Formats: sequence, C-alpha cells, structure tokens
Amino acid sequence: MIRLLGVALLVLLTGCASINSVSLTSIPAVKGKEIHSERSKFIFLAFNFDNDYVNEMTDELKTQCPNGQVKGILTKDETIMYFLFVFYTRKVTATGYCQTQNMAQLSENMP
Amino acid sequence: MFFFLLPACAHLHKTQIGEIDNRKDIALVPFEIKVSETGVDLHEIAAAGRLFKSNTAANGVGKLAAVVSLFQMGPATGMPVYTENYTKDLFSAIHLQCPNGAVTGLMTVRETRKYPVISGEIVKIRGYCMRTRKPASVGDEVEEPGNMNPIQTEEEI
Repeated sequence: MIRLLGVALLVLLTGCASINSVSLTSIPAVKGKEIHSERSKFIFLAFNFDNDYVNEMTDELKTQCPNGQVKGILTKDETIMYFLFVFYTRKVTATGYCQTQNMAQLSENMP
Repeated sequence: MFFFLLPACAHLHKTQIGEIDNRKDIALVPFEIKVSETGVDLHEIAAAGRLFKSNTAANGVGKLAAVVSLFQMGPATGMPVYTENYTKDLFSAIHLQCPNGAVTGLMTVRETRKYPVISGEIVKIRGYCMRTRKPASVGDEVEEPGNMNPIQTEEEI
C-alpha cells in the first residue's frame, strides 16, 4: 500500500519540462559578476489571465547591477507540466553578467 | 455565461530580454509599446456552427479551415492572423517614444489572449529611453532628447 502511494506521489509530483524559447545577447570578453532573475507562475487548468509576472525582470536585473551594464543575457522561457497537464508552471529565467565601466574598457581593448 | 465568455486566457509564447545599460550618468525613462492583431480559429467557428445545428454552414467553414491550413505550415505562435504587417511599425513606435534613439533594456513579450473563436495576438515591448544625466550639482534632471546618438535609418546608412 505504501509502495503504491509512493508511486502515485511520484507520478503526481514529477513534471515534464519543455522549453518555449531561448535567447542570448552577445557575451563580453571580460565578464563581471553573474546576476540572475527568475519569475514563475503556477497555472491550474490553463486559467491564466495575464502574463504580467515577467514585467519586473528587467528591473530586477538592473537593481543587481547598479552603475554597470548587463550583458550576455540568457533568457529561458519554459513550461513544467504536472500530472495529466492539469497543473503547470510557466517559468522565465534570465542570467547575465554585470559589467562595470572598467571591465567594459578592458573588454574593448582586447583583440 | 458572461463569466466564461468575457475573461481572456492569456498564453505566453516567448520572452526575450536585451542588454541593459545602467550606468549612473544615464537616466532611464521606462516605456511600453503594445501592438496586436485579431486571430481567428476557423475550427472553433465550425464547432460553433454545429452547436447551432447549421450543419451545412459548419461543413463549409470546416472545409475552408482545411484549405487554409494547407497554406499555414511550419512553426507558429498563436492563432492565424490575416495580416502579418501589424508588427512592422514597432521600430518607428520605439522611435516615437525615444526620439533620440538611445534605447536599452528591451524586453519583448509575445502573447495571445484567447477568447471564444477569436484571439488577440499581441507583441509587447518594454524598455528604457536613455537620457544623459546632468551633473549632480544640478540635480537629477535629465537632458532633453536629441543629445545622444540618433538611430540611423536604412536610407542614412
């Protein structure tokens, strides 16, 4: 019985992941600190009435890089489907490098 | 009935974030641009026809949907729209928001708002206009647009 319950839980909790889109901007030669922003939304039966959860991502990256430039941004948009696709999570992840002014100059001087 | 008809389910297709220039000598002014076009689901029109017991009309629409689908192959996002030109003015719309042409932190979102039979196929762009910040002694005021490098049009290039 416990084994059966375990299998049922495993089936219920395991999610199938699929990527909707990936984009990458040019990566600087001198990379700075890696910064990260992630936003997700749990959706039940496709009842989703707005996608505003992604709006703040740029601000989030900006805040992590005061007085610098965020470059080499990898944006990944994915869906994680749960049992029978009744529930799913939409997740958008952005990872980039915070380049300070000195680093930018170094980058420009590189061959 | 209205409860089911009026709310639109929103579906996110793609999100993309561009480079962000957040140097302290630059003031960032946020802007948002949204363009959309109506998408049509011919299969839903056929289904609605059958619902109202008009089998002849429903079959006609069903056949039309089959013919139209022959010309719509390959990857697509959302429902078919009958003009693809709705995004062609995005560049000039950004230029209207930032006349000096200096733009950063562009986030592009492609989404669909699904209603019964029709849909709103939306492209949304959020970003920042870059303005040079005046020296600290003057305060946080920003210069009027036009002082930074303007966007070059194809003709100028």
